[in-house]
Parts: sequence; C-alpha cells; structure tokens
Amino acid sequence: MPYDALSDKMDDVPNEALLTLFANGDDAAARVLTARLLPRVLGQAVRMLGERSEADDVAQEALLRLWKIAPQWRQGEAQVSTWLYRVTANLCTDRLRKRGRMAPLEAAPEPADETASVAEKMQSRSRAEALSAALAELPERQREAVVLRHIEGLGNPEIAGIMDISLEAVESLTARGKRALTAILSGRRDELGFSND
Amino acid sequence: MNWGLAMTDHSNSHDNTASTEIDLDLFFAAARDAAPEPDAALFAAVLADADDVQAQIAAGRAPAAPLQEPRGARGLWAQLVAAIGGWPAVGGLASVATAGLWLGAVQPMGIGQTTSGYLSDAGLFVAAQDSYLVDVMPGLNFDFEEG
Repeated sequence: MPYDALSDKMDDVPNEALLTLFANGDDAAARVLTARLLPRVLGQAVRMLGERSEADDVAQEALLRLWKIAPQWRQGEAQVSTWLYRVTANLCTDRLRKRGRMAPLEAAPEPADETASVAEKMQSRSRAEALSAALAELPERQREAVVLRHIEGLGNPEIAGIMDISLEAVESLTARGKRALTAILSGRRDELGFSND
Repeated sequence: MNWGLAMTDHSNSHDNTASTEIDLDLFFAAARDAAPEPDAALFAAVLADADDVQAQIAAGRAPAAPLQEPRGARGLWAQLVAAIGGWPAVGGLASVATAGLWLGAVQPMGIGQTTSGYLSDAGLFVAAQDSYLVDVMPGLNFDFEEG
C-alpha cells in the first residue's frame, strides 16, 4: 500500500496504539511512526549537538530503542513522544560528555520555507545560525530546557517529565537560559556586524 | 538587517536614550523554520532497524519457542499431563476412573451373573477360577510360619 494511503488511514491513530500494532507485526505502523517521530527526534538532536552526522546517528539509535521496547510498552503509562525526547536527550548528553566540549558552531540548515523572499531567508538563516551558536555556549541542562520549551514547543510539565526535574526547576532553567541567550546574542550583535534595520 | 532587535524606549531612564533588546522569539521561530529534514538514507536505515526488530519479536512469539524451554524448567506433574496428551486427556481419564470407582463400589445387579455366564459358556470360568488357585509361591506360608 502506498505510504500516502497508509498515512491517511492511520492519521488519527495515537503513537501508543501504533507502537502496539508494530509489536504485533504491522510494518505499516513502523512507517507511520517513523514519518511522525524521526523529524522531531532529528531536530532535537541537531539543536543539542549542533552537528548533523552525529545527530543522524542519535536519531537512528533513539528510534531503534523505541522499536525494541515496543513489546513491553504499557499503554497509558507514558507518551511515546515524551519517552523519545528523553531518550534522545540522554543520547545527546552522552555524546557531548564523550566529546568533552560544547557543540561546535555549525551552520544551521537552509530554511524550509520556499516561498520566503531571499532577504527573509537570509535573515531567518542568520538568526538560526546565531541562536545555534549561542545555545552551544549554554550549560547542558539550560540548553536542553530552552530547546524543549521554546523550539520544540513542549509544556513545562512534559519537560519536567523528560528531564526528571520539578516544574520549578524547569522554569528556573528556561529563565536562566533565556537570560544567558539574550546576553550572548546582544554581545555578538556588534561583532557580527548586525544593525537594527 | 533586522536581526531581531526591538527598539525599546526607556522613557524613565535618566539619560533618556533608547536601548535595544533582543527579541528571542524571532530567533526561536527562525530555528523552528530551519528544522532539519531527515534524508532518504536515514529513513531507510530506521525502517531497516524496524524490520529487524519486528522479525526478532515475531521469532520470539513463534510456536517453536516452548521446545527450547529447558527440560528441568517443567515440573513432574506437567510432564505427566503432557505425556498422556494434555488436559483434555486428563479430563477423560478422571471420568473413566470415577465410573470405575462407582461400579466397584455398588456393583449393579446382574454384572456378576452376566460375566460368570459368559465365562462358563466359553468354558473359561472354571479355568479362570482355577488359575486363581494356583499357588505361585508355595513356600511363602512356611516362611511366615517359621519366622
């Protein structure tokens, strides 16, 4: 069956149910889950690691762990997306610790919006690159909390679950992270030659 | 180029100068727009992993799996039940045993006469009775008596 048809058919099926279908031998469920979850996992890994090829490896490993846990998955105990964010964060943290340094400053990918004007694209890319560089300077936990809250768009309770910390700790980490980002970006404004208009 | 700087007029400030603040939301939005797309090779690798794991899961559930169970893991009772053909056979055995016990206890009228009749007619009754009278261990009584 073509993927589009599968996607339409399983559009409303929750991730947890798809995972059960996968464990019961439904290979279409694997394709739908991959299409749904892989971009998110990859995005999180790229933002945490600042490096694409390592992020690819992390994304593949995170999904592999999801496939392996499928037969033991207990419905209603956790959300697949939350579990996956957590696994991805842990895998990224392991890699960062092995590196013994912060994420390298790699150029962010091209903006996906093809309709934007060249100037808008340049501006958006410039901001994305600057943010990526600034995020790399944050302490690990602050970076993780800021990425999950302000780029992935998760709520504080979910972030608390992913990072295994209290709501107050999430708020504190994101607030300190944003203050630090503001300071870094303000400091680099002149260095990078940006003006106000 | 507007880099995400918002002009903020600090009218309360003593020096009455305008300062600039970073609008982080513009940067976050730019980062979301620049979200990396997985390429075809990554998709293929992830789906290949999924296929492998699915095959392993299926193999783990195959009917042949119990044959790999260590012999020592099964109890004596379980082995006996399996040897006579499983629980349905145990049910049948229990019914027959109960019926036999019942017949032995009440011995319905006619059964003894019928069987003896059959045996007499066939010329076997006497022989059968005689066979019970054969002392296969003639010295046993002597041993008991002598101690």
